[in-house]
Amino acid sequence: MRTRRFVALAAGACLLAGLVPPKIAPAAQSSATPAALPDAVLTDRTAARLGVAVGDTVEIAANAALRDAGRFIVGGIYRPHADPFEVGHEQLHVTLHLPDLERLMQVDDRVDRFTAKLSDPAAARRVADEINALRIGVAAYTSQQLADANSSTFVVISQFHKAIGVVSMLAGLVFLIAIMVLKVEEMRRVLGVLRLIGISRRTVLRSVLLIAALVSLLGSVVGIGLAHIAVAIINPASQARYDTDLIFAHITPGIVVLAVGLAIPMGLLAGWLVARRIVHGNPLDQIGR
Amino acid sequence: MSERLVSARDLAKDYQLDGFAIHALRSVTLEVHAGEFISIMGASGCGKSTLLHILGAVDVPSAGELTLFGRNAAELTDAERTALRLHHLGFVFQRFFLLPMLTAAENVMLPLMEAGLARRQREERVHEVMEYVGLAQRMRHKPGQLSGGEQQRVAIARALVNRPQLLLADEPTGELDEATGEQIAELLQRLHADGTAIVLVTHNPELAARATRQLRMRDGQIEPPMEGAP
Repeated sequence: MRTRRFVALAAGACLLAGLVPPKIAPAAQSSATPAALPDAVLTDRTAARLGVAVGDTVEIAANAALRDAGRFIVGGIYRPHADPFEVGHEQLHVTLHLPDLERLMQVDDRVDRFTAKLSDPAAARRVADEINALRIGVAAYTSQQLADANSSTFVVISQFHKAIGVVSMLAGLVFLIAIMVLKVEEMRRVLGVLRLIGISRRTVLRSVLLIAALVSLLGSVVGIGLAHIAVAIINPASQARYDTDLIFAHITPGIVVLAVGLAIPMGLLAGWLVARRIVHGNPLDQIGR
Repeated sequence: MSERLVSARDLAKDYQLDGFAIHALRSVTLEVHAGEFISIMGASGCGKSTLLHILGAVDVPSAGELTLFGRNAAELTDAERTALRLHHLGFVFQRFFLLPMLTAAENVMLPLMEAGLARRQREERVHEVMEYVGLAQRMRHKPGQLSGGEQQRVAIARALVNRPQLLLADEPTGELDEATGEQIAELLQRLHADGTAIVLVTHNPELAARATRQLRMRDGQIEPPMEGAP
């Protein structure tokens, strides 16, 4: 059994009790037996950073000067839910029992915030409304309401991603038109021959559009394949880099449908823009008379 | 007198090239009847290909009257001219213009698909015409796997598959060696014997001599026939 002395931010406890962040502080070897100490639960990152395991002893103080530090035994280590807000932050969390935290912070009978887990999560909104209707000086929020209130950053990022998506699609359209120009120019003589042997403009146009749709579909499939490869690289690398379980890139069926659903009409548009010039030309010019 | 397929009177074709007026055809008068085999010879640039293109409803004359299969060509829309090429005319070119990604049979089948024939009918017709040109064993081969002469025979099969009344051939042996050209010439002659009218543009006097009517062009005009000529 080891006793370690640390200085670390215990933001988890702060969030639990709504108090000033305590410190995990350096302390001298104690004579108290670990079994008599209150327990604290650490996140795996905190435990790893401090080099402690379950059963080890830590000293935690509520101030940077490390006065009146309390001794705790590490009762458990857990992997917290991934939180995008914490990506890149080196916060170390520790969770204490409320009486222990109050004693550590030297405040009694004071709780600013707490979380209640309902047996029926679907009733959260109703329960929150009922609590608020009581007007007892408590404001209740559902997790969704808090998430919405705190996600403005992500809304901005999402808009930014959409803007990038629109620019990418426009660039893709230009690229598709360029491909179709090359493809149709390559086929100019073939299309001229088709017109000469009596194939109608409509059939020729349909053929070009079919090719355009196939080129777009093939491009979509290749693009989705490349995206999957990128995801397979980005997620493990980012998760390792930020020590999180967060999924940084995710290809949903909706994204696949959107990609294919946009690529094919864009391909058809590109094909039509190019083919209409060819089919209305003189077939003799197209075969190079 | 056999059926008149094409009637051209005082045809002219003028166009501008780099600011110069080119008179490709001047007052050309010609009739083509069912079952005829006409050859047209002349120096390069004399207008014989231009005439062929106009007779084939690919190009339009600048002046004159043209009747194609009983219809005034000036009144035909582009779609009607396309339909005329599909159902009444067959084209054979110096270069074979086969679609390289398709097999010989698929190349030949294209006009039938456009004509809306059922699959079974198409396959029967393709087999029949490929047998006619002597390539029944090469139907599954792509153009790149065929010799020049075989490719030209596939092109002729494609021109014949819709059973046209008139075959227009523009230098069909121009890219072939003498022996292979002879095979194509024999095929054309057999076609004529079987009742298809042919208008053949060529530089080859021996090939031209196989026609029942031989014409010469110079400076956009058809020269009057020489005495004793057919």
